[in-house]
Amino acid sequence: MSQTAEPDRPEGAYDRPVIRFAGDSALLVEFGNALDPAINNAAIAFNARLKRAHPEHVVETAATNRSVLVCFDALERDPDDLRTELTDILAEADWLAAPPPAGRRLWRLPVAYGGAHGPDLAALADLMGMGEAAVAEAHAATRQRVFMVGFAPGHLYTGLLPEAFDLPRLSDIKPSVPPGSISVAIRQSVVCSTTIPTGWRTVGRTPFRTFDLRRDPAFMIEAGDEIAFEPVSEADYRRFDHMVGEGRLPYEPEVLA
Amino acid sequence: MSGASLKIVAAGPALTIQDRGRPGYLGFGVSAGGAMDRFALAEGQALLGNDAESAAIEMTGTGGRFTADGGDLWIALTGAPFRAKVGEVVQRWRTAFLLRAGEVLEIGPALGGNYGYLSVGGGIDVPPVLGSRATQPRAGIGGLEGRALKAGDVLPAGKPGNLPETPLLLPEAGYFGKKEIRVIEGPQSHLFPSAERSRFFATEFRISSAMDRMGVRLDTDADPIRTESGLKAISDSVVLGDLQVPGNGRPIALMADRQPTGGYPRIATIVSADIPAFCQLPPGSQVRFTQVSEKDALDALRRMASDIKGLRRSARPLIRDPHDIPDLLSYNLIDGVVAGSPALQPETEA
Repeated sequence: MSQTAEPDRPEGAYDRPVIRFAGDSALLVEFGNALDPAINNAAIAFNARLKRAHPEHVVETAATNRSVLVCFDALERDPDDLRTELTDILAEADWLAAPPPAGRRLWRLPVAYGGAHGPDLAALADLMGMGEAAVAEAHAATRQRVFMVGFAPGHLYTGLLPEAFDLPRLSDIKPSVPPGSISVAIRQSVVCSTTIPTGWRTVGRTPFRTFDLRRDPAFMIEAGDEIAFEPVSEADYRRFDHMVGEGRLPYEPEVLA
Repeated sequence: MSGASLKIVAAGPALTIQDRGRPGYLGFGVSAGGAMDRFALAEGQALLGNDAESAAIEMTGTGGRFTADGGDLWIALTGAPFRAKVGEVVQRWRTAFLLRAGEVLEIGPALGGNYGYLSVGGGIDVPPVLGSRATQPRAGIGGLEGRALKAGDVLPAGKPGNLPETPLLLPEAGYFGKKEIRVIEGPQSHLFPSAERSRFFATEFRISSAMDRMGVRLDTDADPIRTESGLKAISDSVVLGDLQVPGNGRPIALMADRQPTGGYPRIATIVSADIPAFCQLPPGSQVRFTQVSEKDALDALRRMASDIKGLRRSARPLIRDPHDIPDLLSYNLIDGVVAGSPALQPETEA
């Protein structure tokens, strides 16, 4: 395995995907070791291909920032045999050249930045040497893609933010942030749909919930979808929050070709 | 018995409805969850002839008081043993007994281990959420309203399954108090210098009191395990049994309700077959991790699956109805004599 990039490859992409055991009942297919849209596209495209291929006794799969976890029933499927099948599917395409998924959706999320909604915005602005409003503006100006959904139900990892947001996580984990909180680190944002602990800096909050058991399906946003954060006033935040409470969406998503 | 329910009269702090879990939503941030000790869950199902998909109540620390509402209920108690009685009659672990309508089953503190299971004939029949009845309280999914059980809850029992003619008694499975837990290397083991990996396997860890369905924090008097990846690591998949090492160098074992992704590197992963043993180690237990091959891990998993399949065969009929056993033990129970009391020996596995 080499981690050196070829000229036409994104930095951090592996020459060829690496398959390793993740516990005795899953194989992890890794495409690289960097946060990069091309590496993430590879993971999302391969995961979609696996869902169509339906390898026998695969229980579930999930795409992450840079890999695909393939969980299998180890009592029914020999892992070497599954590894061979995965290798064959991997050989079908140059996954690092895969486009973003067709039919992905663009979601506009209203966001109230700072104050009680974004308790870390002030400290973050200091750290970045900018004003709070400028940080909020820079955060919202970048249309982002959903790299993965993980950590908690409907918890989105989006990116990439401008270089100025390339900051480490906090060394102290905050015990809880409320649903809808938007927090940043390492050029990514996370958007939660449940109450969670986090080591990321919370800059704002959206009334939107991508996970809601009252809806069917309960989950709306998938890896590969795109997000436009839209700064709103406190009054608009409350208005959208009321809409969401009634089971309505702030905005209908737009399907991207 | 159809229409009978189990009513919670008083609830310990951590009673949840659990089954085999909810695979299929990992890509939306939901880990499969389910019973911490799958073997003990399966024992309850075998004793009552319930389906493998049926749900039971998982108890941690202490149980509660339960009554059969609207009819009689068959009950089986498995996993970590807790003090249990109906009226003044002590109830044995790993057997089935009939709880008559209106009778109260009182389950006290755990006598060893962490997770006990209260199964009812036909299973706990709350509506499945995302394909399973397993509760994930942090996410508010499953069980009853996505939360831990509380006094006043009424849980309908499903249609009784293939109940044995005579109540059966299962032998002790023998995995309680295991001091060596098997692990395999994972996708991130190579992120640790090999000297640190060797030190990890040579280190005796202690199960700390910081443990729940999400994870178990391990303590040690040895130096922290060093990692090179820090606060800027890329979050990636985690799996059941992963031993993640945060910045303070004290590993955390990730359990059923783990977050499906995480940014801390994982040094190794507990093999599936040792999850029941590991999750039942009470705080203060000493534990070491032994590296095995993937083949050994899968062989162990196959043996566990075959043991689960053979549970009905390994059981023997219970000679005496527990209701006929004279009340010799109640004094001890009331007096607070716990694990180690000879009178309770058959029930204590720790």
